[in-house]
Amino acid sequence: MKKYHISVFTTNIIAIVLAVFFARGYNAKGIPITSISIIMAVLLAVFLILTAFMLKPRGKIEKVFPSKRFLLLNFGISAAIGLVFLNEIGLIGFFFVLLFSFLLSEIEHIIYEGVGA
Amino acid sequence: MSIFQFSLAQIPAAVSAILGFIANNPILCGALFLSYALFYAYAFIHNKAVDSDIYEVDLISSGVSSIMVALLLIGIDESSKSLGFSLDLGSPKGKVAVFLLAYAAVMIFMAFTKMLPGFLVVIFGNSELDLFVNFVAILMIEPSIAITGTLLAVIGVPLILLLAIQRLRRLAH
Repeated sequence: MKKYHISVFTTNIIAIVLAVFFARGYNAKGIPITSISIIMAVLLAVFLILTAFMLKPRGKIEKVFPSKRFLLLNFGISAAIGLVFLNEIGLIGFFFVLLFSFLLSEIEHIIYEGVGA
Repeated sequence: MSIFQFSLAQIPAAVSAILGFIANNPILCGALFLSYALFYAYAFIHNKAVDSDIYEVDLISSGVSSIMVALLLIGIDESSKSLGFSLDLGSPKGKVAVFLLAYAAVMIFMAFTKMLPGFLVVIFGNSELDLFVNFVAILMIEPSIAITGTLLAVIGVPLILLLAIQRLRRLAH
């Protein structure tokens, strides 16, 4: 196991925890999380693309996504924790948890991939 | 008490507020601390690893997560249902968000330009600071918890000690 695996895995968990806490806070205050989700998704996607192209010359990112099993593991944990708090975060909050955790761990993956770790 | 005020007499209350928060959110706090514990366990086993194995990773990671936390903090005070959201610089959350955005911008800039000396990478890109930022951000959502200098010190001092111990352990090898 490399530092890369630990880093991507823990980033996913930290992102889930942050997303659930915030989604719960938004839900409790009646603030729609959709607008911030869209802004965040766009920002993360832009950052993902920028990172991929800036860290290494174009075309040298070998794996855009982590391995299938690793992705499924991270997704499964996100879905499981999201479902546990479904009542408190709502359906949109649940999707926010999935999206936020995926994007943050994917950025971590791309950074490691980009620097050739 | 404000974010800059520290009082020794308030330490028990701050500790009890943190413990109460953890007790009320055992799954999420457990997951948060376990994820950092896992990272430390790895660092403990692979003690020979240098402080920043890959220069860019630590700084960019800190920068990205800080931007996200800042945006979420701004959004939680937002009542508008439109796509845009405004920043209230008068609120504690707004101030913290601005600080985090500035910190993130500097970190990302430094990561790409590689201008920052190695020891500053360790100070700004370490896991302890990341845990501090994330945990304080989570506490800020909880209306019953007032963020004071004492509370920040109660969280920050053990993390600074942890950082120092990690550094000394590595220097010893």
